[in-house]
Amino acid sequence: MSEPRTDRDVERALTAWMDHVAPPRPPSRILERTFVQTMQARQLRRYPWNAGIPVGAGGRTELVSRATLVLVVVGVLLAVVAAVALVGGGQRPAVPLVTAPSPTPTAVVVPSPSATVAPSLPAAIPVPIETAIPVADAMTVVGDDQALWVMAPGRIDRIDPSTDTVTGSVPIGDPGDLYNGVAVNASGVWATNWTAQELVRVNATTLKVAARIPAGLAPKGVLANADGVWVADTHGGTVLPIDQTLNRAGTGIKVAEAANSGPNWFGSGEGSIWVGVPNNSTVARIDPGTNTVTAAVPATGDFVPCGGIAVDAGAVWITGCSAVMMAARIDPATNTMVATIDLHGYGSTPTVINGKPWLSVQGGEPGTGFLARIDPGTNTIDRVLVPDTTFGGGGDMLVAAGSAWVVDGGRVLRLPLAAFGAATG
Amino acid sequence: MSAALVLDAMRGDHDAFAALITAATARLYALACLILRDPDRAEDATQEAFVRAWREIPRLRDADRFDAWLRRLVVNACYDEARRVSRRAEVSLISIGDRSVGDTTAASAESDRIEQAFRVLPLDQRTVLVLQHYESLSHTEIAETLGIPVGTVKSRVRYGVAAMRAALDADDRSAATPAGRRSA
Repeated sequence: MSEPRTDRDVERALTAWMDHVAPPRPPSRILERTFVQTMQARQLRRYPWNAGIPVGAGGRTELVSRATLVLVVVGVLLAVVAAVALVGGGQRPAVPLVTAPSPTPTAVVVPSPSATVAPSLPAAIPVPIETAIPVADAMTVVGDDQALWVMAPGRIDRIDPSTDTVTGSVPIGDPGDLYNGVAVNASGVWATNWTAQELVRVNATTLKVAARIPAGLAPKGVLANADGVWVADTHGGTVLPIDQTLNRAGTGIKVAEAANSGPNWFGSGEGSIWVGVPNNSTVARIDPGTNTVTAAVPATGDFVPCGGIAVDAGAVWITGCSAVMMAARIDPATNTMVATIDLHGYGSTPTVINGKPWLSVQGGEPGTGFLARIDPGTNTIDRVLVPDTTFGGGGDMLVAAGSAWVVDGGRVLRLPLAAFGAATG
Repeated sequence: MSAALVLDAMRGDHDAFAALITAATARLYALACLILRDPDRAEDATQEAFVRAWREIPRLRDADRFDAWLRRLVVNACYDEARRVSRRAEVSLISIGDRSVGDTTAASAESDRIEQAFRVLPLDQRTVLVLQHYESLSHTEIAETLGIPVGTVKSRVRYGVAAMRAALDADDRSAATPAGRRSA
């Protein structure tokens, strides 16, 4: 170069070079894998009553103020709906409604802005909410009769089901990190941090982080029970057994090649642990005693095995997350997928209540979610519940302390177990 | 970018979200490639940013700011990815802009020299230079994207360009030096 190079020369060269070397098109798998994950991942909802309210530990005062706001909003919505009904207007609800055969058969009407009617869904039954506990950015819930543990970005909150209040909050990491799974057993509460590539162990008594355990490339689902603790290393293609004494991961159990969208979520039952593996379209069955894969159940049709799993006597239920919104049933006797069920929305992890799987189904926007029960006899949805006019659906459920609990946006709802019906619904 | 689509996505409409990110993928993947200089890491960063976008879009305050918000998520994901690489000492030597051995045109040689000079810049400097010269953002927009003061943006640009100029000048001097003495 004959003349000295200037900064302007460098900047011009940089612009030309970037335009030259920038890839003209992205790999299609970016979108494919994104959609596999986003169709499963919950959105962090923020409803109007979350705005302007300081996010705290969820003490009594906050609970009351939020509950009051919820009641006001629900009341206003009901008033609007009633007014519209009086003048003959209104829209057809997404889920047809009947009067609830419940102890509180008030004239609750569930409005929906959607004009879509799913003909094969039974009429929705309003279910009274016993308590709505605000938990900011609640993602999922696990627990038992003594305590419920709600995971949110960067923390795990403890709910005391005897008082329906948040009684503690454990910071587990940067709120900006991506947290995926949470599980609890006698050894502690366990949560996966995808960003930090670790499993966080929380002491349920002291409410402090007891250990941070490196957990592969991309830890997602976690299973904890009396037999042990396992983590799904999604990008590593393995299930990692966790040594609870040494706080370290053992040799991975290979269920897929190392790649994106490997093992996701767990279920336990029928003498096995089960994990969905989207990128090879199987559900892996693992012997927890030997940590070996005993079967890889292939998914059928368009079903993508990337949702939560519940296991009951004679059936394994798994939610999917492909464009076709389904759950699937696996026969553990034959290790085959024997049925798929149209959920009419994105479903949560199934929860078995009275011998039948229930899912919280996301209708697409607040007010269109519902709780659906699958009849194992027909593999169809035979009962639909709607907690209130703002229920968005899609959050995980569990049964504890004589009630059903479901995460819905920034709240945890306590619902009467009786509403979930007997076998005949 | 349609504000209506953004609002639909904020309400949980996955189809709307899919349409939004499908339209943005090429640009943002290229952005990540330029910052990270590694196509595999760029792919991971872009995907991570999109997944985070789906989770957090209901908290987006202004639908009109969607593009800037999504760009910021991608840049943050690139930083995360770079930290992850650094932690694992797995720095990839794969270059998107690498030319084949037989490609000896002058333009290609100049491109290689820029690539080498750019690659050794610190991540902070690479990022502001990509946002300025590929995304054509102003210093104020870069500051908003990165959440840093405008003065910091300017200094990073200045130092980055100066470092590249120094590297290119050194390369010029090296090329002018007789071959027998270059490794002395």
